[in-house]
Amino acid sequence: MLFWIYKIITIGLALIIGAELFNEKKWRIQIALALISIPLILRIFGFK
Amino acid sequence: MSLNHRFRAGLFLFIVLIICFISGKEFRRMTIPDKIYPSKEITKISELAQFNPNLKGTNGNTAVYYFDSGKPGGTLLLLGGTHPNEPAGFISAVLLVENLHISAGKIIVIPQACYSGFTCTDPLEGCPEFFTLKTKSGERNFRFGSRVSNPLDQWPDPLVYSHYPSGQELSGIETRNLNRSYPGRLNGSFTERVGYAIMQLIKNEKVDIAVDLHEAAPEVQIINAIICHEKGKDIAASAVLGLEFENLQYALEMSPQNFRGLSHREWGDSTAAYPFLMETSNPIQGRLRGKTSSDLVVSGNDPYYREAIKIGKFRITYLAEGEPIKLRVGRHIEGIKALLDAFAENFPEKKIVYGNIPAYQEILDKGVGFYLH
Amino acid sequence: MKSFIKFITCLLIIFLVGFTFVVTKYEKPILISSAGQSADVTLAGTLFKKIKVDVTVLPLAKKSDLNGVKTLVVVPGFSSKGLGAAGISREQEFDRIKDLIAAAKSKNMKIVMLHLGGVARRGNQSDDFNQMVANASDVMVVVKTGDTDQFFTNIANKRKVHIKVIDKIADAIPVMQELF
Repeated sequence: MLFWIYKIITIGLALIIGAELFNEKKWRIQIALALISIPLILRIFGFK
Repeated sequence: MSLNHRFRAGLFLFIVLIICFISGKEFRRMTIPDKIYPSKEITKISELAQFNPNLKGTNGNTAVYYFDSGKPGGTLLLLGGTHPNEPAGFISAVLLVENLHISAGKIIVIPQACYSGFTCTDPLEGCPEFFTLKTKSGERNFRFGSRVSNPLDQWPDPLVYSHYPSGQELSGIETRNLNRSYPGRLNGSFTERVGYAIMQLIKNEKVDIAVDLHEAAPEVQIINAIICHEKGKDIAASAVLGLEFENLQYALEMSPQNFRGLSHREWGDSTAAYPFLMETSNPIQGRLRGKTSSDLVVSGNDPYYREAIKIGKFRITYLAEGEPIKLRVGRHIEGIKALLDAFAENFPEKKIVYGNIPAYQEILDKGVGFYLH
Repeated sequence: MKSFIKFITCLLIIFLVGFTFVVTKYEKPILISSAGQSADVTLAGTLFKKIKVDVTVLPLAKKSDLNGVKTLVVVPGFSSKGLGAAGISREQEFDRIKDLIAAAKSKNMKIVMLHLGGVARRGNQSDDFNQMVANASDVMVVVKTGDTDQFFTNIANKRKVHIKVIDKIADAIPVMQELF
């Protein structure tokens, strides 16, 4: 149960970061957001 | 509103997805099982889930190799890979499985006791995922795993791990350490279920002598040692003396009665088996090490440990020429033989007669790979 | 004739006295104890088994266990696991050995030190025990990796007691056969 709550939160965070990535105009912040999303995307797919 | 930044965002996301694909593939490689080629004397390949059905379909289920002579004699259980970041234990078990010939008694080998730990590495250690051994038929890759079960199999860790049934408290991460989980529980945590299955195997198969193979960092005090339960101290002492005749020095350590969860304690307390745990010196686990690479796993040759030996101010067990895997595996193999000889001295009716296992010097001269498929 | 008999008598006396100094046999019964609770005390018991000499092994021997004993063999070497298993503190172990040695000395017992753990049983934690036992022993048998700094040799030379430095534990067997 806890595992699925964690997965949903991770997906939620990734979606929020994705939305911010598309809204953000400064390219440096876009790169930072993109990099932050890497571990989240990997976690969503169950990689450690 | 300009689309330029959206196009850029899309491009960055695409690059991120490429990176995730490539690194995801790397992670997936660690879920591919290591190939083991049992000798012709193999009687049966079973699975640990036979002793705890809760392990079926999980990474707790691991292969169990049986060599049963069908003739009277004792039963040996050999565990490798309790800590998958201690490769000499795993490879020693593989060497036995791929070469063993048996003529009296029974030998049961579990080369990857903590199979889950082989599917990942420890975070923040920079450890390689694989190491390579040169065999007669070419190069062979083996996984180099984590000390504990994969958190994808058991999560989250508690802040404090309370051992069942003693209530002993340890750091939370030890909840995933197979060698703190015994006697385990049928329906306990993932790792406790594995521990429980191994205990049931020992009881059901009427194991007489059980050996757990490990390694530790050169700065750890208990290195190149045999640790025994108090009931096996005479056997261990006899084995240590026998090894001395082969010019192999081992320290003898007693299993502390108040440190619960370990194989040498719980197997001895709760089963009729005589448990022993052996340690060799593994620089890749050490804090002083330099570059952490698959080469260090195999060569055991680290410039910083060599420097530490030269300085002479450190209490470490490390040979100046390094501690290659062939030496560590050789020590384990010779240690197993000495324990079996000493066991047979004390219990002649439970002698296990085996063959086709190389001697320490042969492994040193020809390398471990020579004896692997 | 008288001179010849005197000469032979002198030779016999010299021979007997010399023989006594060449081979000092340590008497039984023998009690083995640990100083520091390392598992080396078990190895010592096994060594005596190999030379077929009966001994009593009591890692936590007290002075009351010395009744009837002629030779005390002490195996020094600190082990935190051993102390933990025994449920005693370092200080309690130190006091136990001190009392044991004092009691052995008061009964004119011979004390043999067997340091089998090599370099692993040297250093800050072990050397207090090593020094106490070495300073009380009538003879020392030491594995050479435990004496690379001449720690035991220097004590033996200062106290003028015999020390036998061996390459490995198994080399203690002929030494023990000589002593016992």
